[in-house]
Amino acid sequence: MSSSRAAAGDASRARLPYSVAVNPPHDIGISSSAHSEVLLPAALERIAAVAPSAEVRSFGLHTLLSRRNRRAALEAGLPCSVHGPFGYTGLGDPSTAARLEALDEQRRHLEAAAEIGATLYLVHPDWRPDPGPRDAAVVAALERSFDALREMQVETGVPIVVENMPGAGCSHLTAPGDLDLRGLGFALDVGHAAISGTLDAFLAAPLPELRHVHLHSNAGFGDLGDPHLPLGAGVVDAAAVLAAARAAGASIVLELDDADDVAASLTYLRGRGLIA
Amino acid sequence: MVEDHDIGISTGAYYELSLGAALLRIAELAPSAEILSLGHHSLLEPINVRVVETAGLPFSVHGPFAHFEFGSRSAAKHRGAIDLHRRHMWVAAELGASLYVVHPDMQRRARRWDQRVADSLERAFEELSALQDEIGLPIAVENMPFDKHSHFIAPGDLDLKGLGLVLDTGHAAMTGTLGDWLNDPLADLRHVHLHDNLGHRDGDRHHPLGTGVIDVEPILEAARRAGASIVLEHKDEASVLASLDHLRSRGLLVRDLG
Repeated sequence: MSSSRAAAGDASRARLPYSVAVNPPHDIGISSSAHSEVLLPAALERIAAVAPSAEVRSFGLHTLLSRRNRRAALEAGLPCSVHGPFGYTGLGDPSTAARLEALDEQRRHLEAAAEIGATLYLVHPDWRPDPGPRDAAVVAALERSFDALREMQVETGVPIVVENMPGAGCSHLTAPGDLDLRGLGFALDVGHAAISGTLDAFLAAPLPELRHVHLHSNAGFGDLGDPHLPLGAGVVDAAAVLAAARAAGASIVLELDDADDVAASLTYLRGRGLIA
Repeated sequence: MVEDHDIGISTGAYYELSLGAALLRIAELAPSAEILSLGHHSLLEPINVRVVETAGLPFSVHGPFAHFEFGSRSAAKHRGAIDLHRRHMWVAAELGASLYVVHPDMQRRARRWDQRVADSLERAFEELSALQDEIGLPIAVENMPFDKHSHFIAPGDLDLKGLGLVLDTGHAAMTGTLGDWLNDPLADLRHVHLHDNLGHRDGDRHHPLGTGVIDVEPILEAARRAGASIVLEHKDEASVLASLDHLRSRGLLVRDLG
């Protein structure tokens, strides 16, 4: 078909009364956190309507320990990353028993993630609500946990990434170079980095381990409520983040708390020409 | 005198006794009971009805199990299970029960997830929900132990169709889902069964609290925050007494009126 005929066809279709605007595919996935009030099959259906991939938050209602949820994820046919469950200390707990219990929990969710063919599996390191000094015992515990997770990564074939946490002093992973990830990948949570005052540093020299990005916004340094605001509503420069993520070949996920914020973020990205 | 706390005791710990004797023992230890309405504690037995009428102890009722009927795709078996619950519920409601507990399916052998069984269970929950409204007695569904032996192990497995949730903490520990249940924003938590075990590689021991992997404090916090009732569900009185001691020693037994 010649370009002039194609253009004429497009113009003709645009006039059809049943023709509606359909946005072409983009490269931004959506976290199931935006649909935490509905069962996973419905959440994935809603995500599939607006995005090419999903991130399943494997806890609470969307836990992949549920066989029905695993089945729903497989039937959805949507590429999925999986966010593992998290607590406060977990993988960084200096108590070996508590740390092994946290690892055991991650293993069960990771195996479930492998069963649904997850593209990657994300874990949180330590976090505490009140800032404190760096603790060598916690660093050692985290790195032992990362070693164990790297073995699980090999066993299951699912790449594992570790996410930076919000608030300087609230975690041992808030800035570049804080921890040796021991062969695991890195997930840059840009909202968390903005709260910690480290987003510019993360973007200026992206870590070679960067595999995944969580997109959301907030009021910036010290906004410890971690409100997961839609893009455009806070300080996060989405253009710079997307450029860094795409240059690194990292997957990108909008991690918001409701569907309206997802729609607002996608509209914002489209309005700025950052997605098609 | 009974301590001022808010934790009931299941008659399952006194199964060798008559229901009257079991309720007398429980009344010495707790402010309420859960009557396991099967066998010689069945509320379909007229003597048990008279015993409960005179006991004066607040109580919930645990219905008969009907595991295999609910695990079947046969509509006739499902109808039979619902009729069974209807008979127990009527008596429980007449006697003033606060809540009626039902189990979903449970199979002897591991099975694949069967969407038809899940659909049948959700239809049964719709019928039980109608029965709940008709009789005026709240019904709550309990999570099961043993992954692959039931269709109700984790949040998201089944839509309870307006019925409440019984969080069985021992079962959740066995299936590794305790954290998920406590984090489920949709869970209509009405009731909690407390007992312990060694986690997801263990059996359904119903051991005393403090002897296994369960940290009871966040569970009690969640239950009290939700206004859910709480029951110790053990197989013998020694376990009941050990659990009460554990709760007392951790300062968790006395009702938190804050």
